[in-house]
Amino acid sequence: MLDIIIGLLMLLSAFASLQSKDLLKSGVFFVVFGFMSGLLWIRLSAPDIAMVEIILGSAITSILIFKLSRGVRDIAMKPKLWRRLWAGAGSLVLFVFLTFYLFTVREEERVGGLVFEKLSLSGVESPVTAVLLNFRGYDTLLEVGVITLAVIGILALEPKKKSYEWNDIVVWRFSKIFLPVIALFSLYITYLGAFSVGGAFQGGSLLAGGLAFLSLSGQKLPIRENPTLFLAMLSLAVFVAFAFAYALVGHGFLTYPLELSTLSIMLIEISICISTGMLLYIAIRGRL
Amino acid sequence: MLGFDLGYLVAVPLIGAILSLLSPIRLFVAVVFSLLSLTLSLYAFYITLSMYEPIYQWVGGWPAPLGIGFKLDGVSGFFLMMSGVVSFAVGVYSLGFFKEGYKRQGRFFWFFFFFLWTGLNAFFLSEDLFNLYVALEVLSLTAVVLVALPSHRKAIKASVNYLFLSLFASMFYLFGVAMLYTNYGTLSMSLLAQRLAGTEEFVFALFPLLLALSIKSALFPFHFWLPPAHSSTVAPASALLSGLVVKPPAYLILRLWLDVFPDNLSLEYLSWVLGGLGALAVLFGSYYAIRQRTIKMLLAYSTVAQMGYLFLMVPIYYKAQSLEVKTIVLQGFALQALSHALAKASMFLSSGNAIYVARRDELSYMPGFAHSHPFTFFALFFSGATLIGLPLSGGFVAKFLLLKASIQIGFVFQGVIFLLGSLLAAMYIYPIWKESFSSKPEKLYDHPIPRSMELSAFMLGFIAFSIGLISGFLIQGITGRD
Repeated sequence: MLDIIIGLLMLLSAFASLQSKDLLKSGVFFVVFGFMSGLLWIRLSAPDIAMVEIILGSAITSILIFKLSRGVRDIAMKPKLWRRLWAGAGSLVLFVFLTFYLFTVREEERVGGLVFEKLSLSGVESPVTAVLLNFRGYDTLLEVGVITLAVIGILALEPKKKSYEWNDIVVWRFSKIFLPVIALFSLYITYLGAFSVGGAFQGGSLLAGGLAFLSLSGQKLPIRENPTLFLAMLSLAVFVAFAFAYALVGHGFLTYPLELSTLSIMLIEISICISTGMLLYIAIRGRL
Repeated sequence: MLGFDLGYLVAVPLIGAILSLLSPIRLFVAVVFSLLSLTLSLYAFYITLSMYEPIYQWVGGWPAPLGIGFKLDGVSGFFLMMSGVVSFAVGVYSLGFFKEGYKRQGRFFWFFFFFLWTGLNAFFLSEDLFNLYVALEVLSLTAVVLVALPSHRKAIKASVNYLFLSLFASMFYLFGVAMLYTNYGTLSMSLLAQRLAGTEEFVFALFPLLLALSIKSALFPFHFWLPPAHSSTVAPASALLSGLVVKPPAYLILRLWLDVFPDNLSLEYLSWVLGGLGALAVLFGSYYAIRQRTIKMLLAYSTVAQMGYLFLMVPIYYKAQSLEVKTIVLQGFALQALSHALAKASMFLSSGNAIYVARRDELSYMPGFAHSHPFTFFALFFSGATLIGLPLSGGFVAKFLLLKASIQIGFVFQGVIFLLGSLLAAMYIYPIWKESFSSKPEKLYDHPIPRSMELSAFMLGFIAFSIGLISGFLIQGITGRD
């Protein structure tokens, strides 16, 4: 039942996103669409894909869309009739196929059991972190690359404009008092990822929230442009440095030796946390 | 494999991307890392020339159902070499291009340049369907930013369109992958191939997969995003987009058909659908290209047409019984992709040169161009000849191989399309040649072009043309596959 509601909401939001004449509106609907598909992944019992989907599909791409849409607000984006017909026919066929597909689903052995079996060799105790940073660490490396790419893309396209500010005493005080606490807590959550629920992306998002408040209150971090960029690129640099170094030493690309795996994963996680925070902060400010 | 790790192919350009953004000596980093990456790509290709079995490497040391695999075989080695050579030449071009104008774009260009290279290498090496998705995302996002790089209105509009379309395509792809994963419990292509044999359910997953990949490679009815996106950006970005970025999805379709999906009756109809759309792409793409009055739009539509050839051969491949014919089709596919990548990149680069001196991009603004800038003209000449498929050129050998295969199976249809396509290509290439030869050079055109811009365009065109002579050597790795 829940699946059907989510599916209907997805269809609606996709339709609204394509139909709306205002690019900003269709961007908003696209975010809804991305979020719904994230929920759908959870329902399909693939929470790791869901997380990536929500971060990428909704958060990052929507910022990219909003930034781009500023430049084309006044261009009429009314789609042509034949294009709409194409889209309609395509989705109808897809819908029919998906319905048919639902009847053919076979439950076969997936890799879940294997993850728990090899968990002791991964250097961390949390299965999600083990999958993200060890078993499928290469995917995560490229995902970190995608996030960095999107934000640097925003930087490259954005002419230097004043970002949106919210000059409110409460926001200002809040950010001033709580930012250190939030930063500390986000690092703690990142550290927690090795044992239980938590991890670098969650910690990074928390940090980004704190930094977003700072930027809304009209303040900025007391560091200059180059260090900001450096911190934003830190995770990609650390990650690829580890991968490359282990390949050079002869262990193979991204293959942690068992005794160093906990340390490597911890360092990579902390760098991802810091970078995700900085990247989202840059994305919100629209400049360094 | 001692001392060489397939991961280097991904790591080195990625480190180049990071350093070129962070370090103050950007151009030095760009030169060093382009050379390193090119060497690695060529070395990977060199390995494939003399091997009998594909090389597998498990990233992180975790084998298939758990981890992600690298796979290097004849076809992927060939495509790695292709992206290496074209990227390198575009890099050489950009050294001159960003020195003069576009300063602000030049600051960020190298980051995206190296990231694109990383994405291409990651894509051609991977054998894991989800990993391929991530690599595809890297490629699409880079491409979107590259399209928007000049940040004038036309470019941003094209890039927004492209972003939306490619995101929807990605979502379809992910749906397809999820269906395969829920039904077969693995993402690795080699394992999937074993588990798929004798089952029917995968057909449902095939549909969104093929839809997504044909949108991303601009197959005929989904081609409308390509011309504005590829024509509105700066010359080196256009060359990368048109030469390289559209190739990986087509390659993946081939790979799925080749390695993963078993023989099945329903696939025959689908292969004809792809082949038919490819034929329409050749005809309509060429027709629209003939009608264009600006060089870049003409070249972009020509990309639609040339990509059509890659799909045209799917039914031939499917129908062919003997290994010999299949190998011929495969060789034709690879050569067509390579010669198009080289020729189209060279075309876009030299059209960038033409725009650089004439400051306009209409065809009628380049009269007498051949007199004032012979190197650029020869680049246009060689690459044009390849696109048409004149004898000796790479395009000729590719089309000849495919023609041979289609005749051996007895498909007249494909043969007719090949001939018509060449005729139409001649019709849209000819005006470029004619205009650049026509009258005396004007004073305006004495404006010198940085040497690296002329040389890289010329070299690409020259290689594209002379591929015909060394094609036997190039396709050796593919032949040695089985």
